Amino acid sequence: MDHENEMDTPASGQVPPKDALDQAGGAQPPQLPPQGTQTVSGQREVMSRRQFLTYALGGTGALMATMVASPLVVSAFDPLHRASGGAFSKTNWKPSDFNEKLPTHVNYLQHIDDGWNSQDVSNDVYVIVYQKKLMIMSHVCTHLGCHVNGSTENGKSVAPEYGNGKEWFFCPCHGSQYNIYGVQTPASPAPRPLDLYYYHVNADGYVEVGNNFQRSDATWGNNPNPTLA
Amino acid sequence: MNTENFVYRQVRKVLRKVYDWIDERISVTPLWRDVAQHEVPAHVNPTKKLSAFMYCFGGLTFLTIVTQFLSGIFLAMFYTPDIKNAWYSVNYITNDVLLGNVVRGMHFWGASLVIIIMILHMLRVFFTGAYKKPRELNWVLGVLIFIVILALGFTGYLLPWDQKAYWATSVGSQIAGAVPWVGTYIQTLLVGGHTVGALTLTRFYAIHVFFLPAALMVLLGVHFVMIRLQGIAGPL
Ligand code: FES
Repeated sequence: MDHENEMDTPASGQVPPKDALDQAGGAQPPQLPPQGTQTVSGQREVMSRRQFLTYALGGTGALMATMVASPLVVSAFDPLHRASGGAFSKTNWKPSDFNEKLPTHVNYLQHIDDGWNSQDVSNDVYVIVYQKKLMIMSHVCTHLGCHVNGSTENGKSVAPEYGNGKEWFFCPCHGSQYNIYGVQTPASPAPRPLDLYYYHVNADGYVEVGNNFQRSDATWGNNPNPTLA
Repeated sequence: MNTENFVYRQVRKVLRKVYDWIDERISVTPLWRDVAQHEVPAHVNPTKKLSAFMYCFGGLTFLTIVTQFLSGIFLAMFYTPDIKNAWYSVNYITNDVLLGNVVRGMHFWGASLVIIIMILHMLRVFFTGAYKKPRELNWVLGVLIFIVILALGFTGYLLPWDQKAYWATSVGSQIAGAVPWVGTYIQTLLVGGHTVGALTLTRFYAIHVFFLPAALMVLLGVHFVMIRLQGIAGPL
């Protein structure tokens, strides 16, 4: 044991000099646990009574807290597992009310199931026939959500009035323009075409309107809805 | 074993460092010592004498009150205090919300549990004579807390707006109306109108989730501070 080592040893004596440690380790019978599980004082490391109680109580407390908290947190996350709407709303339109030349502006009562509340809310859409399917276009501008205007006069659809007679829809907010299929012009702030609605035709021949879905510039013509008879 | 020990030590080290960093700046150690680090007197320690568990009822009351606060906060995310929608929103919580029936069940059963444990706590204080000088004021506070808890139970009972809720409140408010001289005024104020209806529901809701919980927190705070000032009452 050299003097330098003695100087480093704390006064409390809890950490014996390195030499002493080596000696203690060397003196142990081989079947005892290896060095790594020993404390510096050469004793086998066991959990103190206090530590054990701390863990036991802490563990029990954590378990109880989790039991109380988890159903609460799960309930708050309920909206994430809820699919949006899905119900179809009846209308009084027949597919023959619409044509391939110009969109027609029509109203219907949209059935909305919202939590414990169900209501029928008036909604208006623009409908045009494209490739033997209805394109039921939302009136919501894809830029920031204003109500777009169609080219209509006294409630009747007329030839495109915007963009030098090429564009049919115009958004009054920031000037987005869309053609008869709801596809925006490159200069418009709107990032994508107007949304489409799902629909089906019921047994009586009336159109029923479902949820809406987004399209991109590339998929503006894709329409997953049924072909008209 | 070795690696387990190693990981355990490292985690401890990091936690220690985080704690020290915070402690160095805002010295939390004296704070939590003041709140939590006290010797448990032998006569209230169930490991020394099993019957001492009755000294836990106060703490258990607080624990159930805390769970009531928590489950109530989450129920408020779905509940609507309106006579047209209240029942439907409760129905939605019970039948549609994920584990909503569990959350509502916690609040429902917890409400009764708080009252039961609180009465046990009160009986313990009474029969060990812990309310005697110098702790009379804390007994009075405790009785105020008791009243607030009962009021929470009464106002909460109306919120589902079903038949049971409606008639319980009708009867309850008529009992208030039986007070001599001022009864009808009390009844009108309580109900918020001349019949149990839309105004009663919003009024009870506000009382249930704002007024009473706020009062309860203040009263409980003072209750605990007084225990800290006066210490736990001595053994019999
Ligand atoms: S909202 Fe329609 S252009 Fe901005």
